[in-house]
Amino acid sequence: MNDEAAIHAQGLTKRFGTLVAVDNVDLTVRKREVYGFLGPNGSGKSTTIRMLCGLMRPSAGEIDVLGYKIPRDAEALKRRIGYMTQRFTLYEDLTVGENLDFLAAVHELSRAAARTRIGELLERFWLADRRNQLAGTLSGGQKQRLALAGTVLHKPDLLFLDEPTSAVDPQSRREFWESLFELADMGTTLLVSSHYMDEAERCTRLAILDHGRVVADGTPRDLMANLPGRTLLVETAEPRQAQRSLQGLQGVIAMAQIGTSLRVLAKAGADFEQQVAERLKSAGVAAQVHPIAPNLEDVFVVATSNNKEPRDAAA
Amino acid sequence: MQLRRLGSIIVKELRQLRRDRLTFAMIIGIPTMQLVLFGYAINLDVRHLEGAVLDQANTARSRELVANLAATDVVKPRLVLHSPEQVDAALRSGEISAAVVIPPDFETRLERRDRPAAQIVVDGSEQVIQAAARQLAAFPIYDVTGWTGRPAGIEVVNFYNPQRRAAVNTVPGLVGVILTMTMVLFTAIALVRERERGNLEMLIATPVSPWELTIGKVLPFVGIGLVQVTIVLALGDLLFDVPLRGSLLELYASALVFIVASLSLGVFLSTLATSQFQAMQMAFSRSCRRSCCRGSCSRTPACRCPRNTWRRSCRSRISCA
Repeated sequence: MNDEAAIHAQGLTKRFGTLVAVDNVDLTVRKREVYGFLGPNGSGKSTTIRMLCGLMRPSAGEIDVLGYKIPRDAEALKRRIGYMTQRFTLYEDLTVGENLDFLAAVHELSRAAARTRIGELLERFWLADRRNQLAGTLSGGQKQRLALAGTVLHKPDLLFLDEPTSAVDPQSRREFWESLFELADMGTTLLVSSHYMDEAERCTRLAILDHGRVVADGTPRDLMANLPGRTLLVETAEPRQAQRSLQGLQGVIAMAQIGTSLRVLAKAGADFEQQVAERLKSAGVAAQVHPIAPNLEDVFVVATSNNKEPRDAAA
Repeated sequence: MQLRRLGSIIVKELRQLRRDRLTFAMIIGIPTMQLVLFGYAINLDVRHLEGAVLDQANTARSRELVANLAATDVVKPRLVLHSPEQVDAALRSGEISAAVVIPPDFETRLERRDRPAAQIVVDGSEQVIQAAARQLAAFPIYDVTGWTGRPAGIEVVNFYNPQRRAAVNTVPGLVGVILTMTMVLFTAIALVRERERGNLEMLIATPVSPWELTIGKVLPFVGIGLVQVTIVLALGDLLFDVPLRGSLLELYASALVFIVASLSLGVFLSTLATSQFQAMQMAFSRSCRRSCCRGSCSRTPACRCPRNTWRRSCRSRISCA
């Protein structure tokens, strides 16, 4: 992998009045990476992306994208990047072909180049038979593919995708991600924000954002590997009761019922398995406790809970 | 029909209404505005028409007549002219709306009563001014014996619309009204739609510059505006026989200026409105204010409402008899 950075941001901050939407974010995205932004709504994902694209001025911080200083060189950067939002932002009252023709002209593609490029994209994104259909009448998944086709029309080196799959069904999401990996294979760097764990897990690297801060970053595997022995599965006939009896136990970060079992996430520390077992026993709940492999959701919960603690303590 | 359900809908409606600041402002604003306008500004009496006097007789009685006409306050004789050509020029430039012309043989005419003793020359492109002049012409003459009771024998000469046909007045005026209404509305909506539908979010990430976007969106409407002008003029000619004399090119040039001004206003409104509906409300409340002032502006020649401005600009080109 080429280790050269596509995006490098330092101390990135955005304030709206008294609200700090993005708080001192440091970020490095290497070329050809599929970099994920994971975070709840309002965690600053969109704001960060908009600043990196040069669509919004940061309140503080340095941004370097593909060698351009942002916001100073934002206009030049626009020719090298693609930006796609959750909302369908092409023209619903134009046909698929007309939308792409328009974008090709906007990006100053020659007529001949536009024709071949559009034909190629329509094939690649399974839209060739929809060419003369109004964009507004496409299905959610088709719209998303059209938007992606429009975003990569000018062969950008870097793609910003802001929750691109929020509005589409799981099948379309899978197809969409196939397309993203295809783009990555061809050398495009991607920065994708999402609040879907399964999508985040597909990224080569990801950052978890919470309250405008990066609370964790790394490869999904490393992030999960950092939580040894902290996730327990409690198998019991009475998961609700088990959950009630474990409430308030020192060191429990989160509990979630998964079917008939209970998943418990604990703070770092030894012997937690035993503590849980004893607590359940004394509460009279028959249960089997054993450690399981953490998943990305656990990483997410731990990362965002760490951030909350100092705040709660201060409050 | 269940009262509790009905009530809950009413409460919900009022809550939404209270939060929609524009509609709320219109609920309060429109009656207030209309009341103030109708109460103070709209005056159905014709007063203080910009006028001129050409007194070629210059006798005691001719001066008396001029003074009497001036005393009515209908015409304000602002200019004293010395030749009929000056009267023509002043009317054409829009400097005056009416002129009192007294011929050199005024005294003779007055005695013989076979011909009109004097003339009121009016800008006939405005019907209200015409009507006022006709009333003024019925003014009784005052001579040594006191009020004679008989009309002074004043003739009204209508410039620009000698047959007093309404269409000659309304059709050119309509061009102005239609252009302001549609042009402002179209541009405001077209620009706001781009934002409302999120297209703008996509465009700002492309190399499109704000100027390219604005001009590109507005230019088609310039063409559409010219098409509208053509439709009104052609229909006016076909259906109402409104003559079109003079330079067509100049007419379209002045239409173009008018269209561009209306479009700029539309662009401005689009920066204030957040939704297409709001843009529509703004454009309408604007033109509503306009049409309500229009009722009065024909009587107040100083008013520069679009219809009058437009009418002035094309008067010398349309229907110069």
